Amino acid sequence: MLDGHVYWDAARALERLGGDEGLFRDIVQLFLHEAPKHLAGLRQALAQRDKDSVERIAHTLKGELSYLGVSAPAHHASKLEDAGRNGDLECAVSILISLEKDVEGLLQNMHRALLERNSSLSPIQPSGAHSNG
Amino acid sequence: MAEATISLEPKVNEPPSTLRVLVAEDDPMFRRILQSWLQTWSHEVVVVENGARAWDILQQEQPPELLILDWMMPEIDGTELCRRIRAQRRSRYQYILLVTGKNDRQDVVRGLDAGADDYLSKPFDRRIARAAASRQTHFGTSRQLDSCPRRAALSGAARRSYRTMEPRRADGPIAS
Repeated sequence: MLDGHVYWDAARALERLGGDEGLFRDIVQLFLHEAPKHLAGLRQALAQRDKDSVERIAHTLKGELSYLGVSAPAHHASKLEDAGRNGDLECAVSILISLEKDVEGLLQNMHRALLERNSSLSPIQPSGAHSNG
Repeated sequence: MAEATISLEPKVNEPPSTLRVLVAEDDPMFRRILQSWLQTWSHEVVVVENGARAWDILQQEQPPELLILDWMMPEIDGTELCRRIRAQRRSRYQYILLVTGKNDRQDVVRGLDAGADDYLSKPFDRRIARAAASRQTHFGTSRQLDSCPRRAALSGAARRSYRTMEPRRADGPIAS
């Protein structure tokens, strides 16, 4: 669990990457860089009532969250993608509020996990073992 | 079938095959992953972030042989690129892997109908990507046959063969 509510299966993501820790760190860093831009893009798209952009950005975020093994926010992103596709922007606003809360908590914990891992230079542990970090 | 009995890694005695590969993907995370893997497998990789740049690359006299195209990307999406590539009917066959986060069978059918040879369903893992990319080498003898019906038959055979390995592909839309 991260911050008591968001589960990050980092070991599953590492397994998908063939156990390449360097690549794993790279993509986590990329996510830390990209995710705030996705959230800002979603806020802007909703403000402009641009349903196509809502669908497209939510789709991208869903893919990244799924890949990283963060299933609950990925589910929210999927719902947001559906809302964008269906033009249900009122629903999209409420989903985005939940998604932002999840992703912001996740980003803090990913930062912390990377710092701890960089300082200890320890290998990634088996599934779930480092999910508090 | 028991997972331990299946290996999706190429056989040790297979000759190494360096391909020129185009990766068109708007998400930097997936670009990074695919580029890293393909380079590890000794392929020459060109990465672009949208369909229009991909189309430019494909107009070269000797374009890449393996094309890994994201379905949803700006300017020209993956399926439209597939259609344009097949409409060109180049003498050298280009093997197309469509990368998709879509999990609906109808979407996959649309991708294959547009001209993709196979697809990678996100979130894909390294073994699946390698197995799918290595399919291109099985087309080596048919690269000059793109305009004849045999190409379609070979493609279909490859698809069926690949799907026999799909018990591992639990997140794939056609896995059964």
